[in-house]
Amino acid sequence: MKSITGAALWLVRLAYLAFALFPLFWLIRISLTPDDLLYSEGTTIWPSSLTLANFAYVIEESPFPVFFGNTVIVSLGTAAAVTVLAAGIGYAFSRFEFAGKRTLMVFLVITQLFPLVMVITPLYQLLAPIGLVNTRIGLIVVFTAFNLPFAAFLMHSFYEGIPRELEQAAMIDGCTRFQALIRIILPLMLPGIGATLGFVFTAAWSELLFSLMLITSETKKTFAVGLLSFVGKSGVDWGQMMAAATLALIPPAIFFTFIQKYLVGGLTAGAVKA
Amino acid sequence: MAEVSLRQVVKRYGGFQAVHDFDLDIAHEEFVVFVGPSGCGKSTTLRMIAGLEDISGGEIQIGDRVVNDLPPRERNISMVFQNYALYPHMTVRQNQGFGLRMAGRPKDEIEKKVNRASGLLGLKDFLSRRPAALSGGQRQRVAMGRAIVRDPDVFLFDEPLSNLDAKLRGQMRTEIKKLHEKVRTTVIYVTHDQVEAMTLADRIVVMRDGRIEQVGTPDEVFHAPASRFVAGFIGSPPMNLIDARTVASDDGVAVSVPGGPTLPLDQSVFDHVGPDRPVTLGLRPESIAPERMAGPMKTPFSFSADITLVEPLGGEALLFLQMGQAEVTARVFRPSTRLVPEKSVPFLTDLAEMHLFDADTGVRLNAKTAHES
Repeated sequence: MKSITGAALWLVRLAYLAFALFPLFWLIRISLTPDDLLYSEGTTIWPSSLTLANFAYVIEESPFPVFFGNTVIVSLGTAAAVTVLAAGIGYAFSRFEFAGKRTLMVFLVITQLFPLVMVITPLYQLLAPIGLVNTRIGLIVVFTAFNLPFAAFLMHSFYEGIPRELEQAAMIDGCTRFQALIRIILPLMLPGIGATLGFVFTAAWSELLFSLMLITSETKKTFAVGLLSFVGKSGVDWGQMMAAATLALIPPAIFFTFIQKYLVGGLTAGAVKA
Repeated sequence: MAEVSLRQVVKRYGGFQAVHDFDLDIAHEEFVVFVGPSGCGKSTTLRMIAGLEDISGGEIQIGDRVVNDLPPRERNISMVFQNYALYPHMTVRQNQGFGLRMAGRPKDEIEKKVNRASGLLGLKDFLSRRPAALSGGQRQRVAMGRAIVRDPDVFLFDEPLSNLDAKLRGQMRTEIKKLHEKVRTTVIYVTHDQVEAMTLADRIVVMRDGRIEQVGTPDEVFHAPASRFVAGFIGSPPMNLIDARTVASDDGVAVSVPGGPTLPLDQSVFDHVGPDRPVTLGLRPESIAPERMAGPMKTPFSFSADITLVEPLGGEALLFLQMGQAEVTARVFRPSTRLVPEKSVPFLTDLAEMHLFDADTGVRLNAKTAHES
C-alpha cells in the first residue's frame, strides 16, 4: 500500500516537473534549431541537426549585449534600492507604534489594487519634466516605487518572525537599538533579505510594460523590450529570439544560486522555545 | 551595593492602567518574587525596572541612581526571559560573552568570566554549540550564564521556568536557589507559580489587577494572608474559603457555617468583630483532619462531616468533605488507615489557624498574630 502511494506521489511530481520545465526545454530546443529546419521539420521533439548560429548572431551582431547590460544595471539597482528601503519600512512597521500606522499599512495594500496600465500616462507626464523619461535611473525609480509596498510587507513578516525579546536582551546586554538591529536582527534577517532581493530582481528583470513606454532610445532599452525587435515586418525570427531569451535566463539563475542559501529558513531555530 | 526602590510607580496604556502606585523597597542581595495571576501587572513592573517599558508616573531607583529615563543598557541589570531569547547565530560562548564584548572588555577577562559562569552552570561541554543544538534546560542555563557573566547590580527573571516540563522546572528551581547562594546579587523574579514564589523568595510580593495585595516573607504570606485573594492564591491545595456569618454566642461571638458547625471566635484575636456580619471563613486543608488521625492542635474544635471523595497521593491524601453547604478539602499526611467515603465522620480543626475575611472587601479580620508582627 505504502509503495503504491509512494509511486503515485512520484508520478505527480514528475508530471509537475514536466509541466514546469517543458517551456524551458522548448525555448532551448528552438534556439538551437537551424532556421531552415524550423518550418520544414514541423513539430518534432528534437531537430535532426543543431546550430549555435542564433547565439552567435545575438551576441556578435545584434544590439542585445547592450540591452543585457541595461537590464543588469536596472534590475540590480532596483533590487538594491527596494531591499534597503523595505528593510527600513518593515522594521518600523514591525517594532514601533506610531500615529497613522494602520492607515499607512492599508494605504500600501491599496496601491497594489490598481492595474499598472492605468498610471502609464500620468507617470510619463510626471517624469518627463524632470528628465527621467528615457533614462535607466527613471526606470529604477519607477520599478522601486511599484515593488516597494509588497517588499515592505514581505520584510515586515520576516521581522515579525524574530522574537522581540532578542532585541530586548541585546539592549540589556549593552546595545543601543541600532546596534541591536545590526548585530542581532540583521544576521537573522538574511533569509528575508535574500527573498526580497530575489523577488524584486526577477520582477525588474522581466518587466516589459514600463520599459516599453518610458524608453525610446536604442541604447537604453532593456532586453525584454529588445526581444520585440526580433519581431520584424516580414515575420518573427524565432531562432534568434529564443537564443536571446535563453541568454536572458542566465543572470537570474546565477542570482538565485547565489542567494538560495539565505532563502532557506530555520536560521532562528533555537532562539526561543518553539 | 544595589537596593532597588519603586515609588508610586504607575503604568498606563492609553486609558487602561496596568500598574497602580507601586511602592516597594528591595534590599541589597534580597531575593524578591512578584507573584500573581496573568495580567496582574507583575511582568510589566519588571519590564519597567529593566527599562523595556516607559514609566507613566513615579520613580524607580537602582543603587543611588534614579533610572526613570536611562535606557536598559545603562541600568547595569541583566534579565532572563521566559523564552530564553538566546542569540541563535552565536555559540554558547559568544552568547555569554556578548554583553562584555559590547562593553569593550579585554578578551582574556571575557574568557575568564565566561569560563567561570559555564563552570557554575555545567555548560563547559557545550561552549561551541549553537542554541539550536541544546535542550530546553541547557538553553535556560545559557540564558542564566549570560546574565551572571556581566556582574550586574540586579538580576531580573521573567517567568524563567514556565517553558520547562514539570520535572526540569523543579530541578532548575533548586539550581536558581543554589546559584543565588553563590552569586549574591539582588534578584527580582516574576512567576505565576506560587510554589516557585514560596521556595525561592526572601520576600513575596503578591499582585492582583496592577496592585500589591501583600508583601511579606513566605511564612507571613502563608500564615497571615492579608486578603481573601492572597489566601486563595498561596498554598496548594488552596485554603478553603467558606461563606459564613458571625453570630452572638454565650461567650462572645462565633462564626456560623450555613447548615454546618458554629465555630467560636478567639476574643483576643477577633475582639473587633461584632455579631451578624457576613464573613469568609478560611481554613487551610492542613489544619483539618479526621479526629482519629489528627496531629497535635493548639485549639482543637471538633465537628462532624461526610467524606464524599478521597484522593490518595501516596505520602498524603486529600479528603473532600461536606461542611454544611460548603465543600471543604482536608489534607492528611501519612494516613494511618485507608480512607474511604463515609458519613458523619468526626473531624478536628485548629481554631488557632483560623482566618476570617470581610465578605465584601476581602480584607483580613484577624488581629496581628505572631506571624505578622
